[in-house]
Parts: sequence; structure tokens; C-alpha cells
Amino acid sequence: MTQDAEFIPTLAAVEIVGDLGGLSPAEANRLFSGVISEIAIGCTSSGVGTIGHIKANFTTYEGMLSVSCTTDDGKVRSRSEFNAPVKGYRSVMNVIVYGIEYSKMCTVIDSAVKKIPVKKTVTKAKDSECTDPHCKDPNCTDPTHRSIIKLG
Amino acid sequence: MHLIIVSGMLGVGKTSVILKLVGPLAEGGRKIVIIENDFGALGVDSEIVRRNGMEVRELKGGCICCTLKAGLIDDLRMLQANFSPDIAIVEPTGIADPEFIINSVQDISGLRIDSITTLIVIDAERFLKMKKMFERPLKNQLKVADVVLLNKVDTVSAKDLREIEQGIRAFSYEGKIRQIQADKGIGLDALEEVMK
Repeated sequence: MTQDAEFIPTLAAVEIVGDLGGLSPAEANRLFSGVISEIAIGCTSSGVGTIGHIKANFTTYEGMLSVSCTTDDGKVRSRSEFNAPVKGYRSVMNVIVYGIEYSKMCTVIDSAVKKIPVKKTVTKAKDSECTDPHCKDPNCTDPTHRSIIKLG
Repeated sequence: MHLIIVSGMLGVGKTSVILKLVGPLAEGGRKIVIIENDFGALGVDSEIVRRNGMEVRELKGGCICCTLKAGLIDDLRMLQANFSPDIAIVEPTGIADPEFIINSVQDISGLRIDSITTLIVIDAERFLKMKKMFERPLKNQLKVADVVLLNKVDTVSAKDLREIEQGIRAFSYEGKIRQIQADKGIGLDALEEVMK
């Protein structure tokens, strides 16, 4: 074991497919960035001690919006943005935060994602529900053996 | 093959650093391969690297300093055998201990690593908070750092920057600290320390 169990975050991977019906690039950038920001702020107000990162790529045939947020205030940084109207899109998103139960995090994500037109959403968690405080194995795959770190 | 490990806590800007480093490193026809290790189940960073026109090898859903260590060695072996790269850039997860990576790739049969440079990226905006919360992993990362890249320096004041640098030095780190803005490529244009 090379890391301490206490440093293992709660994480979710979300895959979204949807259609914005030709929304302007500026509005699409704003809409998607707003989702990331809302997840950050929502997680913080739900008790997250710190955000590891919330990052997502929204891709279309024409381009990609790549955004991330690492701060409690929901400030989003973008690496690339859409420059053409957005119709069908696909998104992959990784949410990695410390000090929150997985179910609470999913509630926040679900609420934020509802703000955008979505055809299909798949949320995957990896080893995120283990709550056994005696389990010190950060690689534990037993969903009942993951300690949630308490911060502050 | 020269190995560059770009390590640092989650969200510090490791991928941005790599994207800006690759161009200058590739000058003179050097062949470069990138191994991305996303902790998340979906490879967000690797998609970004790919979109920037680079081939990337992806190791996801675990950490290459422990659970995916064998995967890293296999990939490095395979890349060396098939592409003979001059440089392999490895981006571990934010929780990885780079010392474990350094130790695990040395003296491996079928893998020739000539030298290793470890870059530790630190987020100036969140350093004081991260230092409080993740003292031990941060200390482990700084222990093996060749160069510290202090990123997002545009988000803090000059006074805070001095405090952050003192905070980094408090971990007994005596090497170079470069102030950078990775997303704009500032401070990364002449990173001669990368190639020993």
C-alpha cells in the first residue's frame, strides 16, 4: 500500500449524451460551464472539505469545450471552448472531492446535470461507498469498506 | 529513454504543463510519448491530449504508483520496443507518490531508463489549504522534486507568493521554484531543467 486511506477521495465519473439543437457557442459554453460551477458550489455547500477537481470535456464534431473547477467558489477555467453552434454533444466528467458521502455528491451532480438537455446519463462510481472506518486499504474494492475522510 | 514525471496534487494543472512542454521538447525531432493516469474512471485528460494532436497511452481507474504499477511498466516496455521514444512523459494521479514510480521503473528487465526528471506542479491558489490537508503526500512529492512549478501565480498576490514559497521551502525543498501560468504557457518556454 503506497497511500494513506485518508487521502482517497470520493469520486464519480459521468458520461452524458445530449442535443442542444444548434445553441450558439457562447451560450453553450456558458451553459456547460455553469453545470461544472454548480457542482462545485453544491458539493461545497453539502460539506465537501476540498475539491480535488471537477473537470469535463464536452465534445461535438466541430470542437470541444474543456473546463475544470478546483475551487469552492465555482470559478471555472476553460482550456478550449466551442466556436460553432452546438447540436449533438457527448460529455465525460470526472468529479473528485474530499469529505462527502457518495450519495450526497450524486444528488448534487444530478441536480446540476438536469439544467442541460440530456438524452442519456451514465454515472459510474469507483469504490466510493465504503464506510468502514477500520478499512485502511485505499484499493479496497468492497463497497462497504471505504472510509470517508472527515475534515476540519 | 528519458523519463519525465509530472506530478502534483489534483487540479494543479499537470495536463496543462504537459501540453505546453511537449512542443519545445519535440524540437530537433525528439520522439515523445505520454502516459496519462486519470484517477477518474473516464479519461478526461487523455482526451484533451489527444485533441491536441498527440498519441497518448491511458491508464485509468487506479493509480500507477500502486494498483497500476505493473501496467505502467508494461506500457513503458511496449512503447520503448515499438516507438523507441527519446522522452516518455508520465502524468500520475494527484495522489500518487512519485518516489514509488521512480523506484518501480529502475532496474527492470527489458526497460532502459537513462535518466528521470521529476516536476512537481503546485497550485498557488490552493497551496495553503492543500498544505494543511495533504501535508504528507505533499512532502512525499517534494522529497523527489527536481523542479517545482508554482502554477496559477496570476491568482495570488506577490505577498502570498512569498508566503507560498516559504511554505514550500518549509518541506526542506531546496531546489528551483519556477513561477508559471501553465494555461498560457508562461514560464515554461525555457525549462532547461527538464532535460538533464
